[in-house]
Amino acid sequence: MAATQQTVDAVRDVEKYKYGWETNIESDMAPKGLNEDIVRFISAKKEEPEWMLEWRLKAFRLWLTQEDQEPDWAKLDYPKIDYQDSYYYAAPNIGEGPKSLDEVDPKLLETYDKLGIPLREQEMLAGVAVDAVFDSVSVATTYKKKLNELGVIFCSMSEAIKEHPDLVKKYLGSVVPYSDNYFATLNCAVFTDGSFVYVPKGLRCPMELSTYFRINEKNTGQFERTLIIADEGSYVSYLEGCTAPQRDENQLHAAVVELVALDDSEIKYSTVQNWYPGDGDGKGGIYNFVTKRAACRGKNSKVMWTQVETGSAITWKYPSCILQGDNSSGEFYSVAITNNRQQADTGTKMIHLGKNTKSKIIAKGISAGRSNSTYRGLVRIQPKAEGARNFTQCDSLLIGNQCGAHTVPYIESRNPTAQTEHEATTSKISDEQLFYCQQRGLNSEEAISLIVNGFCKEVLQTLPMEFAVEAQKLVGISLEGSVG
Amino acid sequence: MLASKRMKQLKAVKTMTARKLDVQMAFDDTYANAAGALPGAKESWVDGLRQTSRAILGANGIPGPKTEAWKYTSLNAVANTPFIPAKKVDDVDVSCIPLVAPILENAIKVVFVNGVFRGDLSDEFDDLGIGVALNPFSDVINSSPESLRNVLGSVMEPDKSFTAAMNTGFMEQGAVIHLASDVHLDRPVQFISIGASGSVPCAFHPRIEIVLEAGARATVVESHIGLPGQPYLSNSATEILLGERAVLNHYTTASEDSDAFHLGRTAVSVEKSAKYESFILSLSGRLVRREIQVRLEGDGAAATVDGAYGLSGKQHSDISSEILHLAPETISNQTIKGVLAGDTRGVFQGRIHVARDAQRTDGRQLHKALLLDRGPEVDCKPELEIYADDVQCAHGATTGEMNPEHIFYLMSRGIDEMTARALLVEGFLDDVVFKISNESARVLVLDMVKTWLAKQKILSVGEL
Repeated sequence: MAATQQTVDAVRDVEKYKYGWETNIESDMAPKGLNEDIVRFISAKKEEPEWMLEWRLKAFRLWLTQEDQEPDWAKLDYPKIDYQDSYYYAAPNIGEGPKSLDEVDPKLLETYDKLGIPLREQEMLAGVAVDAVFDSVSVATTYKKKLNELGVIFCSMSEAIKEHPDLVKKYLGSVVPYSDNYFATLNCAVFTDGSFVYVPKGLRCPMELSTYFRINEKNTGQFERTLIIADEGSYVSYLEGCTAPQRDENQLHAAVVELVALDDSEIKYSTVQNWYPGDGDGKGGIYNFVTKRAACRGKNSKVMWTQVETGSAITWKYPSCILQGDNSSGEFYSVAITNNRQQADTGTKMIHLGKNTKSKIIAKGISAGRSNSTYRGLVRIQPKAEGARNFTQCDSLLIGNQCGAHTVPYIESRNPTAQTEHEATTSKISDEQLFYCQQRGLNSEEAISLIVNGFCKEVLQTLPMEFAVEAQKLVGISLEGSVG
Repeated sequence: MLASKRMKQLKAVKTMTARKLDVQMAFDDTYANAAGALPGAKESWVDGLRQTSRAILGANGIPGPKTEAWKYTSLNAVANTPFIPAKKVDDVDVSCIPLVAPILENAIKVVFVNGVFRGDLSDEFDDLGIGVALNPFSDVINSSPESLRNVLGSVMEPDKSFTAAMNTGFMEQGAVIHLASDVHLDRPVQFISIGASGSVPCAFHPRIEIVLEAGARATVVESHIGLPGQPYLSNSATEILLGERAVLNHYTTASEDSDAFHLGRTAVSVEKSAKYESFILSLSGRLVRREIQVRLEGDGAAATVDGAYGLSGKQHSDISSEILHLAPETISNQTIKGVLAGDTRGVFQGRIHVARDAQRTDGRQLHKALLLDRGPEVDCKPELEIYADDVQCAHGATTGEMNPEHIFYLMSRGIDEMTARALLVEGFLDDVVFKISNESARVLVLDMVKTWLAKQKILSVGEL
């Protein structure tokens, strides 16, 4: 009896969300609710120029008219969101923007330490430059100096608006226009920060750029906006990670990410999303409504999305590629793991416009507990996309008989020289596989973790090394408690 | 800028409402007056079924692109054609029908012209043996409505499909087949539905009910054809109930007139260990949409839902299928192949649903489309919705043009390019047509495919 209790406790322990603590930092918050004054307040706080405020207001006014147009086509079930019951701006109270890491509140730095991104260490170790976004505001960007010397602009969005208005004006909203969809429109109105990256012509960015997002305050929404521009012949790899404290209420995260790839450039965008998924009964957790889109504008440009989605109560996310330039290519690798009562509706869109454009989609969905995961994807070949090529593979794995796995691909081809291929399978971990691992001395959870990692390998191996290790661990943690 | 957008939205809402009303009025005016005279109207449950369906039509209007099931198929042309009920059409010349109708060898032919049963053109089917009952729908619903009480509308749900709602709201004539337990009907039954509008566009809604009791076996072919003239709307519905161990081979061909509209739906319930084999062939018609829903209700029920389409000119063809695995150890297999030329659009939507209890299910689906020239568009949405873990489900979809290496291979054997292309297209389609297990039906479908191929300019060769 005691032994059983011990096991139960142990399982409970590991099941707990590792990143569920909160940091007590004084915050500067906007009043609760959403109206034009809040939009003005945010804009004023950020000391934005007039054109930015106008753009926000334009989006906000459109959003108001769309009240009944919240997308409902996804296979997701959640109560109606009260947009007035949330704070749209929360900034850690640190007064003036930090000049260097020494000025950053030590408590904040501690937070990131716990998250496993010790900024200082990062600065020492060669490799990753981190922009950390805490609630709504970017708190620190490492490696700025070194990147500056190379001509790479890597800073917070607010800073970019102030210091590189021409670039921002030219590209912001050019991939995801303010009228794109309900959540994107909301984001345009109230976005608070995010990362901005510009890689100049011909430069292969020597280090991985990375942003860490964290929602800390209660009842806040996080609306960040990321814009990455890879100029002709450049290359950049960008990583994004996210966590949030454990809370009973649901928090909204509606981000927009825009990528622009010009001639011969390449952008690699990797996400490990580990927002708080809610507890075993589906209480709390982040609503993750994200619009991510890349425009492969130039010839021979390439964009590669990799995502590992393990967190969030609800995921609504379709990183897409618009393949405009001839010979451009888009790739999408995704692992979506849902457990307990999580719901994920995620996939991609590949729009082929240019000649000889290529796209490849590898999506792996793993459902356990009482969760549901859906792959939803669109491959569209426009009439001028001579010789376009698409390959799609979607595999789903079900663990337990209370979960669901769904595949909803749309394939639209309007050019005979284009070739599209789609295949999807659904299966479960077979008893033989489990038995084999167990008779080699692995316990059932280790065995499942190993098998699932094998199932996801195609995707995980596309991640940069540091992330791949973290992702592999996450895969294991997310599925803990899913087998009895 | 904003104001104009808002105006646009308002306008959109307005036109939508207007369209709803139009549909309702059209239906009410032309049909509802006659509703009292429809067969079975005195039976309150039949009348209720019609009323409910018409209320659903009125409430939902004609589905537009925002309705997921109609995302790729627009009904604008149907909505804009002022159809009258077909039985008012009296200037139809039927003398050419034997020439145009695809005839199934050895079959019991049952002929409908504009949805009206024509005894003079049909075979005798009064005495088909013990346990076999084949009767006109209107006769059955008038004389022994109780026999249809648990059949009619049991799986053809008006709230799930516009096609079903329209048919159920206005169904008048058709046929009912009933096979008693363990009866095998050796001769196939062929329903031939002919559309012929004469001088005014007309619409008709034939209804077929097929009930096979436990262990019964039958083969049914539905041939939908048409005569040139004004456009007509053929809105057929076939409801099929298969008892335990029953086996039905059911083949539907649509080769409508090039101006005609065809909206048809098949709804099937398959009990324990029963087997349903079907094939849908869609070859001509301005707009042809075949919907099929198969419910695998009992352990070990199996279904094959194959099909092929060939499009040219300005055709639009849509095959929308839904296979519901509702019991353990059910099996479904689906292969759909399409060849597209000209300014056409081919649509395939296939959903496989596996319910929580349907463990050890096997579901396979494949859609392949071959694009022959620059005009066509193909839209495909194979969908898996799975709630049971111990399943094997897979689907695949491909689109593309003919492999130049295949053509080269044939040409290197001394075959000219046109013939090579024609052979490859024929082989591409035959592959699935050969899965039809009933021989005479297979021959019929093969012939129809060949005739279609021979008509295609892009493949035109002397002998095929």
